[in-house]
Amino acid sequence: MKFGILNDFKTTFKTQKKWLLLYYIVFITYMLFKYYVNQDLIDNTFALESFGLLINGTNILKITMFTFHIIFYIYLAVSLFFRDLKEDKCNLFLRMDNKKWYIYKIISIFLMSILLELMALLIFSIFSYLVSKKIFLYFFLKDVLFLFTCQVTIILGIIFTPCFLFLLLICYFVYFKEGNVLDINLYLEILYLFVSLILGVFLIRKNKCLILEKC
Amino acid sequence: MKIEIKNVTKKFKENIVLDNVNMTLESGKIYGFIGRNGSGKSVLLKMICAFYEPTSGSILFDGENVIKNKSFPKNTRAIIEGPNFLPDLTGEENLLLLADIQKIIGKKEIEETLKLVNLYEDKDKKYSKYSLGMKQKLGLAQVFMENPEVIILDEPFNGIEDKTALKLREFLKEEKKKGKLIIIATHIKEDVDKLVDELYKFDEGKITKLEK
Repeated sequence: MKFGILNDFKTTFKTQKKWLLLYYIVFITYMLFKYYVNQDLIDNTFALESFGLLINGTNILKITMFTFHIIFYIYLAVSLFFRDLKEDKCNLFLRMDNKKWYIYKIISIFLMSILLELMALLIFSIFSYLVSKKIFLYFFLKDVLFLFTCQVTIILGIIFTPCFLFLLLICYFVYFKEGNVLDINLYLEILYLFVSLILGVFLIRKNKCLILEKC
Repeated sequence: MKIEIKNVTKKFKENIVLDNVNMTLESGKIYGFIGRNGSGKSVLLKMICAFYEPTSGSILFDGENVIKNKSFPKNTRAIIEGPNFLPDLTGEENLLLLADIQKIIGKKEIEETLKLVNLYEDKDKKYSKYSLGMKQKLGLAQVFMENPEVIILDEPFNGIEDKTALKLREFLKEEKKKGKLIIIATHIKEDVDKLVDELYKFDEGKITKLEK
């Protein structure tokens, strides 16, 4: 599993170079733009906006950044997840239980998201010496959990369409009605994530053939 | 090992790919599946590997319905519809990665298998730099390296030079003597004619056993 996860990292950094570069360029450009507009005022709102995580209001730029932020992480997760299903059927699924594979893949996606988010935070920290360190950590935790939930929801959604509509509905009430990632109830978030992961293990185990035929 | 294929039908939407297939495959024999492309050979192989579910009927491994049990056939290795490996890793690294899953073999066994398929000299080249024949050899090495009980090969000699193909045919005969169950699917009858014990022809969803 350790070798597999390392390999997922290696593959992502090699095959998704352009996407990664685009993500960080957009992130830095938007952050510098906000820095300029805010006239050097760096606070939590600035942090949230820089990461495209403030979606209250109708500002088109904020909505675009929010969408870009999520789509980037979802795209990475989906490409990582479905690569094995499409290409490595014989190599993997005659050696590994599909439940075990799902767990390894989910861990891989989670660690990948943490790493990329950490890199973004590292860049952001250059500007953020005024932001409270505690809030900074809380913000990181919230954002990673938020992105991971989106990734799991979409992956399950692609495989099991009816389940996706159900999850999306819950996801909306848990996340999007708040308009601010920091305001989301942490316990509700963890509960949602836990339920969708368990649901994933159950569905993957039950529908292995269906998934492989679909891919 | 005994694989029983009982009344297996496979449909994709309304298209019947396999129609009421019955067959029993046993250890110590080599089975040949022949038929043109799209005749359902690969679909049956995928069902034996529990990748696809039969629309009706069942496939039993020593009496166990692997698909129903949400499992995968134990001690079975396959190459179906060409090999697939990670392009940025070398041939040997790819095999090490796969061997790491079950941890039943180490580097020594991998290198022996690479020698068997005549790929040892190129083991340190990246997979993306491999020719079609080298990719096929690595796919075969992946199948043989863990000494499986059931060997499933779909068009195994694709792109492989005569010298290696001959060596592999001898190897398969030796494996048969050791009690392995081997299935070879191909669209070229001559590829398997002298190798197999039983030959099945796939045509428009129907399977007929050919006299040797």
